[in-house]
Amino acid sequence: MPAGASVTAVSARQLQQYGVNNPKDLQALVPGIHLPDYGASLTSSIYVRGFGSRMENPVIGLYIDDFPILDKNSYDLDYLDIASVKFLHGPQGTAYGRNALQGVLSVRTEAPGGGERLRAQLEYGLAHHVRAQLSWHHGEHAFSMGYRHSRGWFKNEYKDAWADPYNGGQLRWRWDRQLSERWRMSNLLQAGLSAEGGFAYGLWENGVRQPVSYNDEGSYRRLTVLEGFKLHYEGEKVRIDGIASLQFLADRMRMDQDYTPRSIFTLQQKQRSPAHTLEVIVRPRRQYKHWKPVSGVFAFFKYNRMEAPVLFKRDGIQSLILDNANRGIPESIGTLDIPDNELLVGSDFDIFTWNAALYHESHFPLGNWQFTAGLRVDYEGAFMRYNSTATLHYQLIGMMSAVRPFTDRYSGTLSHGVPVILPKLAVEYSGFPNTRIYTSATKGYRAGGFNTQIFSDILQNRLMNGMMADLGVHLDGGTSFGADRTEYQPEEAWNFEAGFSYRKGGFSAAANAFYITALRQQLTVFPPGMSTGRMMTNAGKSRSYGVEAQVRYSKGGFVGHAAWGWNDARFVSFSDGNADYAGKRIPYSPAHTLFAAAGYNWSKVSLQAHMRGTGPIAWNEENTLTEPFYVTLGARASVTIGRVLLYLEGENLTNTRYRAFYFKSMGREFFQLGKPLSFKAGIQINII
Amino acid sequence: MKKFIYLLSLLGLVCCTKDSAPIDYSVGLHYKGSVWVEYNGGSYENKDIEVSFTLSEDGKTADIRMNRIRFVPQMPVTVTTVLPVTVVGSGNNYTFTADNVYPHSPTGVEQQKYRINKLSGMVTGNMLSFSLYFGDYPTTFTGSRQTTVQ
Repeated sequence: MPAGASVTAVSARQLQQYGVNNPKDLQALVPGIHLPDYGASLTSSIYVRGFGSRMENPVIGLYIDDFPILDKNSYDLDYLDIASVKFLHGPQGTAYGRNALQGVLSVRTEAPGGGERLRAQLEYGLAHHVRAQLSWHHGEHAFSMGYRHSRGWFKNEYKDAWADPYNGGQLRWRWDRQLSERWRMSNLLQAGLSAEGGFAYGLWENGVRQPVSYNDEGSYRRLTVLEGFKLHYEGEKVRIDGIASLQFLADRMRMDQDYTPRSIFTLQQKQRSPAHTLEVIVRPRRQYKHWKPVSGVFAFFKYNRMEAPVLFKRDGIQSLILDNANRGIPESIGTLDIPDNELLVGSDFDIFTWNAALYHESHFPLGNWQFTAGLRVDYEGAFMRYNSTATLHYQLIGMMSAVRPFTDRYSGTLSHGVPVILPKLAVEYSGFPNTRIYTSATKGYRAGGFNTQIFSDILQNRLMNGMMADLGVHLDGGTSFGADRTEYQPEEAWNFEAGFSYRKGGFSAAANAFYITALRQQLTVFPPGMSTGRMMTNAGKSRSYGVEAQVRYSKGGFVGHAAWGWNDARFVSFSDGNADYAGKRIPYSPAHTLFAAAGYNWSKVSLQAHMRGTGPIAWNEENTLTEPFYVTLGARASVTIGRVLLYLEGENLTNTRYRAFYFKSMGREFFQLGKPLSFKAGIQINII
Repeated sequence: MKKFIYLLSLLGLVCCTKDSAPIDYSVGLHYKGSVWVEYNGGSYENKDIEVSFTLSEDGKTADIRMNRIRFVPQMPVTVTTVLPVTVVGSGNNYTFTADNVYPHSPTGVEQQKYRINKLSGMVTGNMLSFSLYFGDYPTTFTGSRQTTVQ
């Protein structure tokens, strides 16, 4: 357990009981965490304590068996033979560095070594949900494989087809071996492949959410590979852990970006991203009475080749380009026309990111007290090469007698490097029986980056200005910005926290209160007007305070569990140039998360019911559109007959209608609804 | 009044540049001055307009490029236009004319909206001056040579 922080631990049994099959199911179970389920697997938006964003770097770090997962697009993986999930609340910058701004999610896979085991599981449910899993533990090896299929939950009425079908599989091989008395190794190879639909977004019009209805393809394909290797050395004087990983992500997203039946514009985003991480942790073997140090070095290198062409179709050329342009061109000059049926705005990026860090934490136990001081020096650099191009034909009717070709190329490089110092101070007191009391001051940061998604807007702007310049015409009041404005800075936050935990017998309780002040908070914003992109920006300053609490009680066959998170997260100073949002709630993150569960286990029969509450959520910076607090109910019943477990699960039993995601495109508003009532029945057989 | 100033400046140009050193107009010389456009019985002054004069290699034609001019104050755009003219003269003093031709943009697109008529003018080293009709608008320019281009 990290010093001065609260931890939510979810065991394999609890994961099963509460129907947690992927990270999004941790919603509310971990107090204060919000993982809205929308879009597709790449949209792993994570909000914690009021902070988070849907794009680019997350506000938490994800570790699978101590291997840091670098790409947020890989976060949403089905849980397959997971031994436990732990969430370390608050900034864990000193030990985990990059992106551990509001916490760390640590996932442990089931380790081999517990004897021979062969287990199979099959379930079927509404929306043609099928899930099949097989795990085999043999000696030093643990193999797992899983497959999931779903017809989808939301119909695209224009196509009369399901918008969000899913097909995906995962393989894992873990190999743990004691090489000698001093050396131990562990190897994890994991690969996931999915082909899915998604983006079930419906127009919000006159206060009514319209059905999903768009004409172009919405799909996502992803291949993720993680090869991790750990080596532990037990020396005479020191213990050393070496943790290295190779990671690879290849994905392709196709999106109807206007989400309407009209042929306006589409986006394809294709990434090929290999990465390498390396960490070495050193601890002395000698047990000092008043000093427990841990030191480490960490580094990673990541390359991302991204191709993100935007295709404007005839309706889009008219409504997004020509209508916009002709609003700015005086009639006396003429009327712009682009007779092309399609306009391809190609954007390619090569992005290199690297990071190096040195850290140390010292714990000083003094009687019932423990004092902790830590420091991490972290440096992250990034380099991007961009290359955008578009060719069209145009005519300024009234000034030109014929159509003329026009090409714009926009290429260049950007780079930045940012050092970050991440200190930590914590005090713990354990003088009361079964109780731990702590207070801490910690700092975390979320890496900066580049707004690749806004390049389409940049090029549209350049095309417009370029065509006019080609004619010798310069529009008044025209705004333009270049690649240099697409960089966003790291977000940094100080977290001040105090809390306690208590455990006695079957009862445990924990609560904490926190105050966070954030600098340069990263926010996804929609540029004003008819722009087609969205971009990450650094909000001036924000703060959040709140409370998280959890209680568990078990006696005999009864198990009860409750978790509650509350925050008041607001901008202290943030102006987007059009309005000042100081004092407004930070959007997208709920003020409350609430989870409560109760169950009873007889010898062979188990019944359990749970509820998740979320909200209210402000959907925009103005706080004019909000999602009220909503509750969903779930339940599970299971019976064990010998080696066979039969179960029935239901989620959103009251079929609560709530909105899971909001965004704006072309000045219009869209929502995705939360998943409706679902049931599934399954069988699990312990063959060996 | 504007025409009087224009004529005075022409006289001044001739007087002041008679014995100057040879000037290479083919590299494109830059002038800055005011463009006066007459409309609705009044006149509108475009201040600090940059105009370049580039003589062709054979010395028979020239391009006069007017950067970001506005014909009337209400016009929500500025226009950069290149006026193709026929040149007569030698040494440092040239006169030029054009009639019933289209100007074009710097990239060569004809600006059919702004047919020019009755263009006449003179360049004498340090001064450039001309008058013309831009469509229906009588327009004059008088400017002095810039040694550094901004």
